[in-house]
Amino acid sequence: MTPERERRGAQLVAKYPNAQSALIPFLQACQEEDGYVSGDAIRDAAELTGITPAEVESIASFYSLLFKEPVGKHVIQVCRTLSCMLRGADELRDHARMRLGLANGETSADGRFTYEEVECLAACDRAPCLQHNLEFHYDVTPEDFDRQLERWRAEEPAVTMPAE
Amino acid sequence: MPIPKGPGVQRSVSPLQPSSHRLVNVIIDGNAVSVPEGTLVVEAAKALGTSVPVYCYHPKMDPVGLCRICLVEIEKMPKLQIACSTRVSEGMVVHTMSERVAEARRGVLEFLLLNHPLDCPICDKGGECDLQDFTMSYGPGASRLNEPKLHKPKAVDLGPTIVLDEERCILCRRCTRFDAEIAQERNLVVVERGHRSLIGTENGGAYTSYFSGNTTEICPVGALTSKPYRFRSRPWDLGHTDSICNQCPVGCNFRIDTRFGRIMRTFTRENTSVDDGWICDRGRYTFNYLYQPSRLRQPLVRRGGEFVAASFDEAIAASAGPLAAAAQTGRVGVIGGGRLSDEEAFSLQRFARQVLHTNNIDHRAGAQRLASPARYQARLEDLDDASLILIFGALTPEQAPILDLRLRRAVARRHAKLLFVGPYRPWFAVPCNYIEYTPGAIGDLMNQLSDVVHHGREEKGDGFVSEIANELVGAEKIIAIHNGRDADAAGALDRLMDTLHQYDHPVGILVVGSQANSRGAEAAGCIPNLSPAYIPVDDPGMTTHQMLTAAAEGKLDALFIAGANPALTYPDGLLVRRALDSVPFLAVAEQLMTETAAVADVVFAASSFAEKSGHLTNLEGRRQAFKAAVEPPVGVFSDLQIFSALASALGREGVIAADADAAFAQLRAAEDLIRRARGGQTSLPRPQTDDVSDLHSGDAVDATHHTLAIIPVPRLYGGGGAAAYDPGVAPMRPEPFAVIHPDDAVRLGLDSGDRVQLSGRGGSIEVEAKIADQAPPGVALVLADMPQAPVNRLLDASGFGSATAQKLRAEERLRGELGSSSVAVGDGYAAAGAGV
Ligand code: SF4
Ligand code: SF4
Ligand code: FES
Ligand code: FES
Repeated sequence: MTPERERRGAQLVAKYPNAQSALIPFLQACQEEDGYVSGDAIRDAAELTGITPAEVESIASFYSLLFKEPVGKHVIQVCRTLSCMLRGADELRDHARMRLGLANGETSADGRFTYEEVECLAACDRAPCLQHNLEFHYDVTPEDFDRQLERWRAEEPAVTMPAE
Repeated sequence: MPIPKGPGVQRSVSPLQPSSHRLVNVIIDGNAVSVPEGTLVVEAAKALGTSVPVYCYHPKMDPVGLCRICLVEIEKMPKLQIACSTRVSEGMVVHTMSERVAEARRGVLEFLLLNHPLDCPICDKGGECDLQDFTMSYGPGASRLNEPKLHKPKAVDLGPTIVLDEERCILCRRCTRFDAEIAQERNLVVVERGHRSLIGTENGGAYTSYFSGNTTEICPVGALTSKPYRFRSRPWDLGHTDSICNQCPVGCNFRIDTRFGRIMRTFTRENTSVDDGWICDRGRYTFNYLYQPSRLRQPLVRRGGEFVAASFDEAIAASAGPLAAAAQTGRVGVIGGGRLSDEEAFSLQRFARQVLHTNNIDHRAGAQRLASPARYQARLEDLDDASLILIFGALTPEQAPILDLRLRRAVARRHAKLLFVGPYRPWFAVPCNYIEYTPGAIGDLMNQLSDVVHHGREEKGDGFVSEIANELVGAEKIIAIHNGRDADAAGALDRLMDTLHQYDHPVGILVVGSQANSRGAEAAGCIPNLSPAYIPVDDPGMTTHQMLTAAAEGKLDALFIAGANPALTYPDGLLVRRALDSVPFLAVAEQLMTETAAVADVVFAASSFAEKSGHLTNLEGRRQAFKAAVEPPVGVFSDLQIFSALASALGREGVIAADADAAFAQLRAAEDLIRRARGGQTSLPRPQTDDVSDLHSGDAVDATHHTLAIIPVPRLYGGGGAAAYDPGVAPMRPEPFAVIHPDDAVRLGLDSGDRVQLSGRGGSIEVEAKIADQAPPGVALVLADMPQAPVNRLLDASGFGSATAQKLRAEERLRGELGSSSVAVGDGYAAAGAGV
């Protein structure tokens, strides 16, 4: 662990009655620093919280906003769970893949876009939905997607991923 | 001054146990039953012989309620309930076979099968798969899914023992919970979420637990299957034989599954008091050595310096003369018994005493001197409610893995304290307090502890002595575990236990030996001063050490070694080499061409545990029967047959029974006689030991650090014999290593991974350096009993030693790797196993 990370870890652990509670905040801090949760970060987190690296990985991989690999500035996550699927998420998914030229989990060569299909985003009432960085988009049609994509292409995101 | 008992430890009631002893009345499918309040519905149903289908539930683990296959109808509850997590209460009425339940099961099974690949025809689990079975019993006949199925990785290499099929996995988490709750290791986990969930490890690394094989049994489907058993058989084609594992002194019960007269696999056979339904991977996978070319399949007799194949009768004839002549003059010795069955060990000492007329018989082929405590013998189950577990010497995770599982549970679930006293800090899966102490001084420590406990004050010693004494005094139940090597420390421990016992502390002792049946051999009289059942003999014979010394000095004419490999395991490698080279006649009964057999004059091919019947006595003194599962190869005879034939050739026909039942009857008769004679005596007489304390003080760390003190460390898959030749164990086998402290590494110019040559009194060995502060400064922890780097070249009879360390440069390494294995001395042994 780098001394800086160790210091950060100690700060976070101090905030909670139990070191394990600091796990997610610590992984977020690592992601802020490195752009993703690296193998080193996993082992550092294990050391910090006294659980095994495998357990950290199990937890980290549960969250779609913790990345195992470096991601683009724009991370587009399309929900692929039941409610959205029933409301046309398959169409949205195919469209997004085509427009971005990316398969599930890929990042564009210029490093600007990452495309992912994720589990329920907890916005089932306004399905189909997608998440762009930390922003939700509801009832998304392919046309909506194109409009948004124009915007995203033109500008730098207000919140970049990983979130600061 | 009597010491008040301490406040004791907090006990948490296991969620698996019913919370009270009050009985409640329940009706399940119209049948009434009374069970303790808090019993799980699924267990209450079991009591009535009703089986509710389960996937995620496993009786040894906490219920989690993940899979929903166990839904049942409970009156007055509107929704169906899961039988695996619902506890019974008074008057509960349960229906497990109603139409609502049937419909729920159909629904759950339809979901479980939604993306299932339906590759049962090529799945090893087929025929003993709960998904197959429950689908046949309760499932829908066909799928309604029109969409393509989800695909996941197949035939994933999960580790050295297991193949994982993610598509077959129903995510019941039995495997991951086993690894967390039972093994307390937490390396096998579920990664990802929802439909993407996978069984995995950190960063795709290998799952290498010593207990991994158990997950292939508890996986209710064919997701986790065993590599050695892959595509070998269908369960309905297997014959089953009840057996006992003979790879360590725990004596786990298992079943040998055979097909076409060959062992296909081994399988747990629960004995709650011994193994609690688990076996370790060493036990599970060590049987394929029987089918290796290196297996001895016929007797060998040395003619003109070379081994030539011989008939059994020829081998007997070749041995009878030299043994008879040596017996005449009393210059004869017998070593072995610790790897044999009880009846064989008994017959071996009988052969020594009644045929060769000598008390020169000893089962101790290594540094272990005692196989039993003189008093306070504990049971394995005593670990379950121990509040303090005190270990010295024994490395339970490596030497008695299934015992270690109990220990892990006691520490993790019941908050027992674990205290290790020893020269370094070995790994334990659960939190452990370490007291660093030189091995030679542990006896002193025990004595000091006795004093402090007795007098309630500190007589002498460091501050921590009173600290440990406080722990002891505060403990509700103390179990001590040692490896039987240090007879003085064991004696001092007995006295400490006496003191604690006097103040009403329940205490117990377990001795973890290095041979599977050393306890049985000791009790059967394979000890120079003790005949069967610990009856002292009038005229004690020589110990192994004395026999080897006599042989080396030319004072022994013949040596017979059965089921023992002292060339590799006896600590004083120099002495054993001299002895085996000097003794005019050496006969060995073995399954494999061991380092000892390789220098013999006559080698008998002996049958294995699976090819004979008999009994083994485990480390708690429990005698357990095992049955022959397969026939031995032609030319291979049981040790009993060998001893019996030798006795006949020496003119003592009928003295040694050739079959196990008759030998067992003789052993039982001897024990009965003695039991009557000994009456109520409670302390067992002690085996004769050698005074080797002056050889090595155990703390002779050279202040200049030119030399390193050598402490041999066992590893589960290390050692010679079966483990060295077994292809099932080969992927897990460690390479010889020495753990060296970073300070010494700097001085010696060593990095982790470097080859280092260690040279001591009996030659040198070449090992890989691992730099870690687990080794105290000035000490090298060297992997024990490895045929390619026998640490006993560096040791003396105390079991410790010292050596100079030198980094090997590239060209020397190359020479070592390309050339023969004779970089080190003792080439006679290097040839062992090669091509005979
Ligand atoms: S691999 Fe087997 S035991 Fe593990 S979760 Fe999947 S089905 Fe259950
Ligand atoms: S713990 Fe010992 S007896 Fe049990 S399976 Fe393992 S090696 Fe065999
Ligand atoms: S299913 Fe898409 S947000 Fe819940
Ligand atoms: S067995 Fe009850 S929920 Fe799985």
